[in-house]
Amino acid sequence: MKKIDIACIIDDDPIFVFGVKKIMEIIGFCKNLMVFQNGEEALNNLKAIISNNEKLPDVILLDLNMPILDGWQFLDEFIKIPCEKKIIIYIVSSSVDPQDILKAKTYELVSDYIVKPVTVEKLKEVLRDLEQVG
Amino acid sequence: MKEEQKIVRGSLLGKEENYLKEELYDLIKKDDVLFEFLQESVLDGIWFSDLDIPDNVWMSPEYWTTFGYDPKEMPHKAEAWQNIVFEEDLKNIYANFVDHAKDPTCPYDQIVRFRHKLGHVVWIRCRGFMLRDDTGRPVKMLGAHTDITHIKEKEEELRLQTAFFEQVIEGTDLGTWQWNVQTGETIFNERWAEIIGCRLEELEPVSIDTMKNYAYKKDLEHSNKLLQNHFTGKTVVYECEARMLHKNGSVVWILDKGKVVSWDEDGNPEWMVGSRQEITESKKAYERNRTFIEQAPTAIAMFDRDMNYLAASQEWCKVFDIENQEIVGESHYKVLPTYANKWKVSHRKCLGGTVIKNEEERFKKSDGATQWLSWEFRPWLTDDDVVGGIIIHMSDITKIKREEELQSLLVVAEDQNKRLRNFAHIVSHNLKSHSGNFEMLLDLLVQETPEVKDNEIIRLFKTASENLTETISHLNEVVLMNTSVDQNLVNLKLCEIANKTIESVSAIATETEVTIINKIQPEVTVLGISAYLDSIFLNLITNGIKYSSKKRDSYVSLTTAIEEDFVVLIVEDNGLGINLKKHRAKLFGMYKTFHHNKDARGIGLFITKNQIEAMGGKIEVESEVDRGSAFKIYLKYEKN
Repeated sequence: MKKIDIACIIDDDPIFVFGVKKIMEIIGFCKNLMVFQNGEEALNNLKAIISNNEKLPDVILLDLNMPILDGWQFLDEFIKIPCEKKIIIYIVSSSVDPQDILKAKTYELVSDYIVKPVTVEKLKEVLRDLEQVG
Repeated sequence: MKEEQKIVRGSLLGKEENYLKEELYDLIKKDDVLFEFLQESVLDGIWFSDLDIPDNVWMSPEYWTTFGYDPKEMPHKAEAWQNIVFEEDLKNIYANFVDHAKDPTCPYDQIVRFRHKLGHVVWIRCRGFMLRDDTGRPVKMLGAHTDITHIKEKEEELRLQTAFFEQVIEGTDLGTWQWNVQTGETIFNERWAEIIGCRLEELEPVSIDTMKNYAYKKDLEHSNKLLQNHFTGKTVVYECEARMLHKNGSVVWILDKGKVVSWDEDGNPEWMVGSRQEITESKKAYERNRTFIEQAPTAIAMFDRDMNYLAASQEWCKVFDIENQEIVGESHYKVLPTYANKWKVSHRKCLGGTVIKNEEERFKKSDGATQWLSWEFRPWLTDDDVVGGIIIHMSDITKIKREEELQSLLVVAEDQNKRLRNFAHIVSHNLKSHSGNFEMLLDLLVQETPEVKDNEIIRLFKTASENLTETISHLNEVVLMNTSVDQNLVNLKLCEIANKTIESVSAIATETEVTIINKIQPEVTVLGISAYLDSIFLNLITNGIKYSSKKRDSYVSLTTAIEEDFVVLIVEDNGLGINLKKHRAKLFGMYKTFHHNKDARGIGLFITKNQIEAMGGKIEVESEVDRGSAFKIYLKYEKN
């Protein structure tokens, strides 16, 4: 069982972040966790990590509805950055709009679309998927 | 008796006359004064001529004053009068003189012209007789002058006038008529007869019946009415347009104008004179115009200078709700007082030659409804290029206006709808995040401290959270559905979808002992969205199962029928039914339930209805309590 080294949450909702952190702790989702409150903050920090040659996260849980740069805008910018490491991105949103779900499928980087709320079970499933990929 | 009296009186008169005459004659013989009085006051000159010496003539002073000469200056010589007499008349004088000389019974009486001193003509009736000796030879001659110039002048005047009128009547091609209203006697001129294709002599003997015989019977009533108006003084002149029958069988239009010129002692009309003009051509042209206007597909009317109707189209009557009313000849102000009076000033301006338009004007009709009119007033010109009246063109633009209003309302509604959808979207989305958080936190709480699981409050908290999540998911479903799906409709086989749904509910159906009968024709296809149809079938069939009656063998049947552009899907059951009197209005509302069924959530029919409408269809329901329900779903029909 390959453990995830670094996971990253990009979400502006502190309650959600709190909850997800808890669930991750319960199931031992990852060793380290990065949290950014919006797309821009995430983009800037990840760029810095790449240029400093530091460790990038293995998996990103990305919210769609966020201030400044939303999830889509983040994705559009992030795919432009040349990066050797394969990062797996999950969109985690409240939206059940079929258009959002369809749009998510158009991004190669996005592996799946998780509808909030995130539960222990759902995160465990993600973990299983990642192990298979890894 | 009478005879006797007459004779007596006659003889008496004769006696009196005789004695006075004798006395007068006596007096004249004795007293010159009387004779002088007579010749001065009765005659315009006397003369006495000596036939043996023809040059000698005695002429009275009046003789000369009549011609403007001073008698004192004039010699008593024949030469004196011969100088001023017209030469042409002199011949006549000599001829008469000779005749009278030969035969005393041949009167010397003629009209002779003299030249007045001032140059004008003096007409004289000159009479005379010869005095003869015992042998009968004429020796003297006595003559008397009577000035008849003024009669001659009148005569000439009359002749000229008659010639003038004849000329005028001939020039204007007028027929003339004179009619004795009381006796029926008539006098027509040649032209009068000519108008109806006859010669006057053909029509002899003429009377008022001649006119009646050739009249167009329908018009007689009208002309009689106008005649009465004239006789009673309502009109100064009788004026009437009417039709007459021409000899060749055709109809001619005439315009009669006339006037009563004499009245009897009781004030009844006696003689009436007038003219008759043929107006067939202009009348035909007018009738053509009138028919043209009457048949025009737009609201149009023609008026004379007094704003009386000359013609109006049927559409005109429609616009102004004029029904079964003869308006030609009537005043615009009388026929449409509310409209016409408002336009009075414009009418006057238009009669002055200006075209006046109004693209839209608002009116309140008598029934209170608002009417929008677009109109144009245009003067029309007669052949003489003077304004003969007005042509009014009218469009009822109420419908267009209403559509415009509707259009702007639609824009507002669309805008509002958009905002509403946006709002619903945001609400559902944001609520969802929050309810998601609730759920997640509760989940975590139970994970971290498993002992709270049995806590009553936490359990209720969890139920409340789940209900919130469900409500939001319904709301979300509705919000998503209302976005336009028209372009996303695809061809679907109704029967296949039904079978799929029936299969998925077969377990509950068996459990509740409800038979589901699918009688949908396999080839029927509709335009729809697969997911919606799934949901519709599921909702209606499960409803049928949920509300089945325990008292009988229950069934839910599915049938289809074609109605014009729609496939009608009928989902019928023999279940509990719905009291439509009570519930029809809210049957398809959100969160409405009509049975005390614990599974009822009151969202199914609301969503079903919305889904059907989103696909361009509609849903109807028939139901009877404890007999069952039938839902009719109209879906767009794909024929091929």
